[in-house]
Amino acid sequence: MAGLDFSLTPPVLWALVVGCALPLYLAVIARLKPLAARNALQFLCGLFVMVVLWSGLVALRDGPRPLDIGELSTGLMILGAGSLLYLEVWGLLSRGYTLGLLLTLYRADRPLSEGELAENYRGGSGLSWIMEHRLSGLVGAGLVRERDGVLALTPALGVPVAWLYKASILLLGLRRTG
Amino acid sequence: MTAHALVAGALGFGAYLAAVVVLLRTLARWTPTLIVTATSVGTYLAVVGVAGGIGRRVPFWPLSASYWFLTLCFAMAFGAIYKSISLRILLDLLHRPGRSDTHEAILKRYVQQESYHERVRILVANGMATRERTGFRLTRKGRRLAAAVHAVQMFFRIERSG
Repeated sequence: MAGLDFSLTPPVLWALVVGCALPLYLAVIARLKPLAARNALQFLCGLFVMVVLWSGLVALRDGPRPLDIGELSTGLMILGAGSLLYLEVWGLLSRGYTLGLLLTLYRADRPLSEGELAENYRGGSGLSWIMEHRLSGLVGAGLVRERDGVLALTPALGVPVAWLYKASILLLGLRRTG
Repeated sequence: MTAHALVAGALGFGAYLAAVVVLLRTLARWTPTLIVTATSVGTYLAVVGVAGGIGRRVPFWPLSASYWFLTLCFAMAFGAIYKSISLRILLDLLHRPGRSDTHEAILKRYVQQESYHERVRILVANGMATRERTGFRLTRKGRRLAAAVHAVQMFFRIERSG
């Protein structure tokens, strides 16, 4: 690998340091009472802390030399890649359906029938919880409207997004989803 | 040179995307998640190898940053396409007359049947749980994973998942 240049410029170095520490910010933020149980907001706050820290370090510790757009872009992309990686794990821990079923079996500490597993899901909330949770997100995003117990795709947003989703499945050649 | 390395990383991502589309259609026995993950690492090693062998100094960090940023953006989108319950509900509605259905019917057809059974099948197929006469029981592997996940959730104060 003699052709690769591994030298670290300050924006890249600070991005690596500050980005690696994202789980630490999350651990602290998760202990703040006003944000308790609000996992998405906790992650957003963690991202904010990370970007502010990086910007501050680049601005204050980098001295008077002119900022290089390429170096800044590299630093931002490192922060972005790190955030996406942590977001995958964070999403799995806080929203994972299969993991939720695994943990339901773990907490029960005895064999559960199919019905019991569904009933005890998410500490007794049951499978209907997942429907309510996801549906509130879809309605909030304007993709679906609900009236008298009937759900319908909204023509302006829901239908195009559903078609885009269908096209993505076909493009990727996925046989099974969801 | 930094700009060139950023572009090279983006081209590497293009190669990755093409490889994923082909492999998802050809490797039917592999799980899509494994294909997407393994191909990202394989393509990255190939990109770094080529960059290291062209006889010019190529900045490693910009190359890697642009490749992984774009690749992880795709991985997020792929995760949503492959496993999102919300998107699956949208698709379900798209195929119904009037693009609408009752709350109860979707819950029964998709959440309580299709999606639920698929998740339980995954747990059993991956050796996390066994199906016995009395019900589902965690295997030693499943118990170890659940204990680890539970410990991480406790550390980050995540009380429930789902």
